[in-house]
Amino acid sequence: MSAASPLMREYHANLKGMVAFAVVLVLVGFAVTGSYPKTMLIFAMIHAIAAIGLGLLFGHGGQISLCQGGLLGLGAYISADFVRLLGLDPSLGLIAATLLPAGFGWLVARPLLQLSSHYLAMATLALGLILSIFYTQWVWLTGGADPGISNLPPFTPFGLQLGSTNAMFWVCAVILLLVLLVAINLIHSRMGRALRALRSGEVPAAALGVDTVRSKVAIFAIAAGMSGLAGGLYANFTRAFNASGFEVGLSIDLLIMVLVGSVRSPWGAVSGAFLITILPAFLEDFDRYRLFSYGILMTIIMVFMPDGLASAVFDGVRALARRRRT
Amino acid sequence: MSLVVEGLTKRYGGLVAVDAVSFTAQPGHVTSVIGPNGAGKTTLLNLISGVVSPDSGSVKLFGKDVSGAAQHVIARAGMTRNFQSPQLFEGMSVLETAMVGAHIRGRCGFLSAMLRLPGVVREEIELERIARDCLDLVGVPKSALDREALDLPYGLQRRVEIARALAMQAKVLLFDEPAAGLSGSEVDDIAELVDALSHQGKVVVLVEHKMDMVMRISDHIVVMNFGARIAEGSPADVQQDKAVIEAYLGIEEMADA
Repeated sequence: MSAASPLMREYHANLKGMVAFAVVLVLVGFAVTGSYPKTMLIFAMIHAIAAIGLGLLFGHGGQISLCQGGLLGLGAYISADFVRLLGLDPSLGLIAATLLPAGFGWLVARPLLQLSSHYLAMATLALGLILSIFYTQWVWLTGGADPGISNLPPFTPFGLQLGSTNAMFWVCAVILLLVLLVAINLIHSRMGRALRALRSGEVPAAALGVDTVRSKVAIFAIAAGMSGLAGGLYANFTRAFNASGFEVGLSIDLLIMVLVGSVRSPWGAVSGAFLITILPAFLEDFDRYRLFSYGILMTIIMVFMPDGLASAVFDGVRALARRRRT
Repeated sequence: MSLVVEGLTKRYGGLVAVDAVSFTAQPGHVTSVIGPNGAGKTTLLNLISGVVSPDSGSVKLFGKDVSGAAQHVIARAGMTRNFQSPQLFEGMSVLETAMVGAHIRGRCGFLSAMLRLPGVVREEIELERIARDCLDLVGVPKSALDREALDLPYGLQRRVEIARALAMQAKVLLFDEPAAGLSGSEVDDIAELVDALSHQGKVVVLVEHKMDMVMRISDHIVVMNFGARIAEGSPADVQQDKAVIEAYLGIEEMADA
């Protein structure tokens, strides 16, 4: 019934991509045994979850945000405090780390999204700054800048011992795949199309009955929820962190991941997250040249691969496959 | 009466862009709004479709007052519009574009879409069927469905935009110069299409500069100049109206004098 439809074919191609990605994650999970590389992979997956949300917001909803790092922090503190202060199961903490930031995003989105383009960028930047001030000042909830939160108990949802680096790899991999699936589902739906329509033009989209305000608020909340979930995983994995981890730099890194990968596709967010998280580990003294090399990387990508690195790679592979066939 | 516009007024500073314009449009009829450039025709359409809120006056759609309502509320009440230059969506295929038109005929929200509940897939198939039917109806070839809508030739873009409006199943269609930028035979095709839609029982409001098209397919014409309605009637009436002739051919008045 659906084989003839190009849209269904595209959706199923994405599902096949997900199966392939899952296989790669399993192979990598078994092949990589060192604690340090595995830690880097876990951070990459955590960033990928937040970046997928930002990719939906920016690439599909057309709304820029420079507070995703702050929202990631919100998830981290909520997740930690559910366990630390309320003594609840870490699984509940992780759920709350998704839902509460989503609710917070929903509340702030209405006033924020009255703005657009660089005004919106500045307003979200300000929100990110306000959040990080709260994180340093509300010491009873966050531990402040020093020492922050330390000695969070290992991740043991429902009493399962999942706190080790090895186990956290699989936890993050499963959650990343679920978030990826949710994003692909959304993109290939009536609501995903409505978002892309309003990104291109709010007036024609609204003329077709798209509730542009509600749609923008919803996608902001969804992106906030994904950032919060990433934060929850971050808290449970590191078990010790402080407010300096959620400053504006993280928001900018997340945006760079999305831009480097591809704003159109969650695969871009994932590849950007892996690249930007793991690449610095291979380069000594990278911190000193970080911003410089990001600048060059961004310029090259913007000029030669306007759809992002992931799209360029996909197109390249497709072109190669075609050449081999003929 | 399906669309009743009463005393619609919009001021921008000292300029009265639309000055107490009233008219009614009925199903099965093409109601055209004509007038020289700057007469306020597009502003009138913006007021009716909710892009701009009127300062005074009302718009009633099937007896329901929608003046000043949000655009999407008006759209859901059964009225949509086309734009002077086709407003297709960037990066979207022709099929997807028409499916956005069918947006309000689906029900799934963000949550059910993200979880892709069983109803969602069924709905996707239904929306795609509606979109394909509408594209077929306005004569967009099947080979174009996968192409990016903005890559199509101008005439086809116009058709895609009309198909998108039809996919909504709106009962009232506002056309803002649907033949602008088209050549001879394409104009005839669009005129035929607009005429056919009105014969199918749609309420059609047409703003157009191509006079032979307007005179051929209109049942009722409203003439505007400097924001105000200066004449109204059948094509034959309007063509003989002194005020209309003056508005279009102001020089003649001077010649007479």
